Amino acid sequence: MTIRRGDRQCGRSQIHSTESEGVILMKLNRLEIRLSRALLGAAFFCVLQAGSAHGGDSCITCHTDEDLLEEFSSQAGSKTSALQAGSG
Amino acid sequence: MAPLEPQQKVLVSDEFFDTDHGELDCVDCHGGNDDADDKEGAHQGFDPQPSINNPQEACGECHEEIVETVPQSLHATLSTFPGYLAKRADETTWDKVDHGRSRHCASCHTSCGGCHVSRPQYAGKGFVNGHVFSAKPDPVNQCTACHGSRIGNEFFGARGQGDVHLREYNMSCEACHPAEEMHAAAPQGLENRYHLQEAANCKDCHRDLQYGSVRDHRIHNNKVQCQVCHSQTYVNCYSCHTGTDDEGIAYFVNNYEFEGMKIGFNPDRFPGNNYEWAILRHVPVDPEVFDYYIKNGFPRFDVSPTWKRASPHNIQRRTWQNANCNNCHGQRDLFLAESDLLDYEKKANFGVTVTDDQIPPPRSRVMELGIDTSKVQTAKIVTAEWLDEHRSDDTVVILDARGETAYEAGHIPGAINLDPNAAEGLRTGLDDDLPLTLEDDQTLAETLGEYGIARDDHIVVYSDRGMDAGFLLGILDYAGADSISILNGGIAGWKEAGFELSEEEPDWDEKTFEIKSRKNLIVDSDYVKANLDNPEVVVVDVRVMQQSTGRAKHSLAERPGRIPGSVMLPLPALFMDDSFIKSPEELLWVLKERNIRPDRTIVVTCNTGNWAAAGMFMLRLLGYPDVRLHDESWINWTDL
Repeated sequence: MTIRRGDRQCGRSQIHSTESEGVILMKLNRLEIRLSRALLGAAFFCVLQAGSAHGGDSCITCHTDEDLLEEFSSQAGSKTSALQAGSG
Repeated sequence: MAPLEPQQKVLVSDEFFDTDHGELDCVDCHGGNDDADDKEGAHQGFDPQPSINNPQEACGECHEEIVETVPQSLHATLSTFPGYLAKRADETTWDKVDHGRSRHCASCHTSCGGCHVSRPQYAGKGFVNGHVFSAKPDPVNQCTACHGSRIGNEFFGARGQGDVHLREYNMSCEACHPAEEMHAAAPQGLENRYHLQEAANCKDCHRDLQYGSVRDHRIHNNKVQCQVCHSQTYVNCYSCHTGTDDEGIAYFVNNYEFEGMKIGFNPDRFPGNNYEWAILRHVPVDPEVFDYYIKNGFPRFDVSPTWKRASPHNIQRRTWQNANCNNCHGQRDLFLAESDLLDYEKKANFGVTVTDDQIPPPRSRVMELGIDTSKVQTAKIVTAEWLDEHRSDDTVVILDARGETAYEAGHIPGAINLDPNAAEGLRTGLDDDLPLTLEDDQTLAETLGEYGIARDDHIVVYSDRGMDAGFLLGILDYAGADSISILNGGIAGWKEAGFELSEEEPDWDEKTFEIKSRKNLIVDSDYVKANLDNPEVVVVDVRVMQQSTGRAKHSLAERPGRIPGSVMLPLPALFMDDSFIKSPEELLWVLKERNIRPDRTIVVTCNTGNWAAAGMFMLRLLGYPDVRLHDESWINWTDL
């Protein structure tokens, strides 16, 4: 029995190496945009940064705090009909 | 799968920030405004599904090669599905059919996020693991969250025994369906998913079967689709209909499903898959599926069969149909007959059905299976006809083990509702030291008596699932009930036999249940632990295999996993979907195949003792002399 899957996994490791280079490129592009943005709103940004557990991003102030999320998302409702059949 | 709470859906874990994706800012992929100090401002321009709406920018900067093809992949486009509908429609009806398709069927599509970070849209969304991306999709929360009622249930054993690739080799979905297949662009006009060049094929791994040591491979290779010999029964769907509910939300329903197996002439022969015989599954297409939008939307309905080549995901090396040549050869019921077709689909399946003289003839010399059914306690199974004849007998008590709502909607006349999952006085509470274990004898006796049951009554139990009836029967067996039976087929079997239902709750008098508990039927976790290495004691885990393989856990369990050395045999392997019991001969053969032998002590375990009790009842019914219930089961084992 010959397993072809080994060949396929080679492709997956290539994906990982591409991913690392891509992350660096993307971060450089984004850094340029963020620098100019930071100059315009530096003071406000610092306040947010101080309140953030991970720095630099106000989104995670809420999205790492289950209690805050519960407070803000309590109105969310389902968009699936009760009559809907199960998955395929 | 229970949906996540809204806050759980979008809760980012600390682990995420240690990953490559965690190094990016949220707005890099999702847009929005990370300078805002309120929810509305922060979500201005926010895209919750960037991989669907803008994969090139959100994912393509890093995963360039993948994003080139994924938007044309079958998961993203479902392109073969409208292709089939378009064949059946014509130019005058297509626009309305396609409108219905886009409202009801297109939400099943997914993209990068639905396989690598979140539950897919169809499964209610929400992060699988705190927004941590995984190169391999989660088979429970992602793959089978969509591919659930067929593939998921088959693979994990919610129908049948589950799949050998999982049980023996711990393989997940991506082992056969790797990224190269999932990310592949589907060519324009692709006939169906099997025609995708990158599609999984058994022979990718199992090569050169004609040169192997298995005689039957040499005989059947390239003539018979692998699944004909190696799959188990599977679900077939009929009568898909679409509509809009009172709140204007689009839905579809399948009005009829059944578990079974049909072999027919392969309707989809092409190079590499040119088998003459194939496993066929009834697909839920119906001439009236889009009647909500257009009547007679499919003037060319007959252009494609409704019984399609199928690939059930419940593969076993040894199955009932390959156990013996004549379990397949000459078996009329196993082959699709014209009489199996409904009126609207007779023309559509021309060339797929098998006439009597086309069925492979029985072989004259076959190996006997040597299954001894003489110990099967046939009195523990009653038919609907028997119950109808005896339901008014003074000594017969009928128990409906379904939930209250189902009972009130219609039950067998005279049946008393005793739902063992909800009734108090059968099992301990969640706050007890050993939650959900059997109550003490006195409490059990009082409870059973309150429901009008005496130990010497003939107690017949039914449900809509064999496992629920079996659970109650296991408790009654422990309590020493003299005569207990399961109604074969449960409520479905009763209806199928043409008998009426009642909405009237019967009056009954309390009785005294003189308990004579069979203490030897129950073992605790200490016993199981002490016998883990004892070859004379076999622990059988009857849970679904996403739990017994550690991919998911019961909500009350501390952690996923299973008892070391336990044999996995999901309880649904013993019942058909509609709660008919599979033939005792087949069940005894399955147990023998798993080395669950009657000359050993068999300990049955599950999550809470519920399915294990049903398993104990079934094994005792099949004549196993020494079967024990591990009623502490996994939720208490994890505390050890």
